[in-house]
Amino acid sequence: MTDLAVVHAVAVARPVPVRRGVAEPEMTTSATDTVAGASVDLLTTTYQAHYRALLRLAALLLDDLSSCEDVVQEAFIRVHAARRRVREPEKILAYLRQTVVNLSRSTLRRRILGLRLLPKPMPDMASAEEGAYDALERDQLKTALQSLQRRQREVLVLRYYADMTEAQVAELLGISVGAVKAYGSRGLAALRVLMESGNG
Amino acid sequence: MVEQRRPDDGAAVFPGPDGASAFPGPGDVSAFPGFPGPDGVSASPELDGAAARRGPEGGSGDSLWIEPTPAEPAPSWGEEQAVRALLHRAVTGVQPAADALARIQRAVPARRAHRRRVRVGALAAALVSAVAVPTLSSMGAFQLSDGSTSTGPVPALSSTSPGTGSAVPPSSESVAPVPAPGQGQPGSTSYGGGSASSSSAPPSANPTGSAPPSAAGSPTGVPDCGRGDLADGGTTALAPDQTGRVSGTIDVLNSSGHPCVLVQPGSVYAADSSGSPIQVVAHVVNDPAGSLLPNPAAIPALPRVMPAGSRYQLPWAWVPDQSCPTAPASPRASASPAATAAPASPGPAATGAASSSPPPTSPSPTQLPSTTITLSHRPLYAGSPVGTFAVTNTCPAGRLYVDPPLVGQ
Repeated sequence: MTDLAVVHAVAVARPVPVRRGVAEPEMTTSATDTVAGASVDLLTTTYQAHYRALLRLAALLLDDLSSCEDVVQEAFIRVHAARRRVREPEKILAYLRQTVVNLSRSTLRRRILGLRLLPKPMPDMASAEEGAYDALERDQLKTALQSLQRRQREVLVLRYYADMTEAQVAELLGISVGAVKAYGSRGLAALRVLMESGNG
Repeated sequence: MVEQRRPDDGAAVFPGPDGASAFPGPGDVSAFPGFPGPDGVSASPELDGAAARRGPEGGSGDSLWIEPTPAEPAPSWGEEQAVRALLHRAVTGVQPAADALARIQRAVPARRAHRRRVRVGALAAALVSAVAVPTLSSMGAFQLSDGSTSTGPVPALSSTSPGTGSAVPPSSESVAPVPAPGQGQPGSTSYGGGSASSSSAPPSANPTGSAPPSAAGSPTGVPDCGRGDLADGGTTALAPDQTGRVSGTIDVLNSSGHPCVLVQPGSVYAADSSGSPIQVVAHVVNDPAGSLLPNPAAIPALPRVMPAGSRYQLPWAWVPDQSCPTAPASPRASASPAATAAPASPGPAATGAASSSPPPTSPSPTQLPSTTITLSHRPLYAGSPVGTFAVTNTCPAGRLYVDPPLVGQ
């Protein structure tokens, strides 16, 4: 979590860099009342550390928020229900990311197959606080990301949102580092073209 | 908490005009935050910041982006940072659902329990099948009658008949179990008619033997048919038809002088003269042996108790392949001298009894070499074959079809 938070803060230079430290106090209080056991403690810790970032990762891979919640929650459940994985806390984030990516992929595939024809659009949650320009930019990015190739989108999101190295992305996606580089550069070029053409 | 976005978020990505000088290429800085937006948003502070960053290059960067770079150079640091900022900005509004943690906390133990149940269930299923499969097979999946599960295994060990030789090892042939009757549950209700009349044999000091076998009760007290109890009752065959198909029946006689319970109908196997196995299949209605054999679904189940002197018949049909000439040189069927008891009729003797009449017509050049098909029946899967029969001068390719056993006349 720390690397993510640091890079996040550096890259975006938020006024409040350590957001997660003070974030979601209501979550922690509501969570502690059902704590029962070490693994649940680990679950709560992991949740506080990674849930939001993973949710946003899924939000960049998917296009509706309810699917994102489903995907990330399912990833948490799967990873934490497997004792073998819980035994290695340092790898939990990697497991979670991989599961989120895989579940997002299968969610999109299901949607392509027509089981879910009408995804609910991402709710415009922050529209009250942000300007019309931000909303426009966000929508444009969402559209552009969705029109990228799947691999390109995954590489871009993992490289530049999750701030993983090329080697980490390669391992998570099960492709070579060279393929990650190629997907990344082509994805960047395609994204650039899409953003400049002002796709709507 | 609320993700409060400051208006200068985007501009803060880049340190400012002095930071822009560190960018390797002139066009890089205009990458994402500064894409030309609609007029209505030109007042946005971000766009202002982007324009300020663009600085001396002005709008000249656009043409650089349209040009695709074939060598795919590594993306510049500035562009990567721009994408990074863009991605982060785009999801700042995404917040976890309020009940997400509670849901996960509830679901994780449930999922663990579910996995445990699945594991336990799989283990239980494996145990059950490990126990049940040998039990079922020892009960006899091909059994003619029900209820006789406590009779134990086939007396295979005690059925080593001296001197028979049982010349053809079953492994070299295609052995098929006698098919079970296709009609309903095997039961003793079909026992009657001619078989009941033949039950007038003396009970031979067996008190239960006098009981009417048509009763559905279990024939306790009646011994199982041993290999020595069943003898060859004579094998009959019809002359081959136009396509070379030969059909007939194998008769098995209870020659023991007392009633016995037929635990297993046994097997049928066939081989050609070189010992190669011939496929033996259960007859179904629409197969090539269709008109030669009775409908297996219409054959009633054989009674479990074979009265002394009774017999059952096993209908069979030999059907050469389509590749064989349709008008073969009259393949002849000849019955083996099987009227005697079983030990007297081993397989090789039957083959040797093949008729010596030569094929009367000259075979066509494409005709496959003719051979002799030997079929045999082992009533209890063990011992020497009882119904050995040879079809001579027939095409070596083909199948043997068998029906469930009938009550013999």
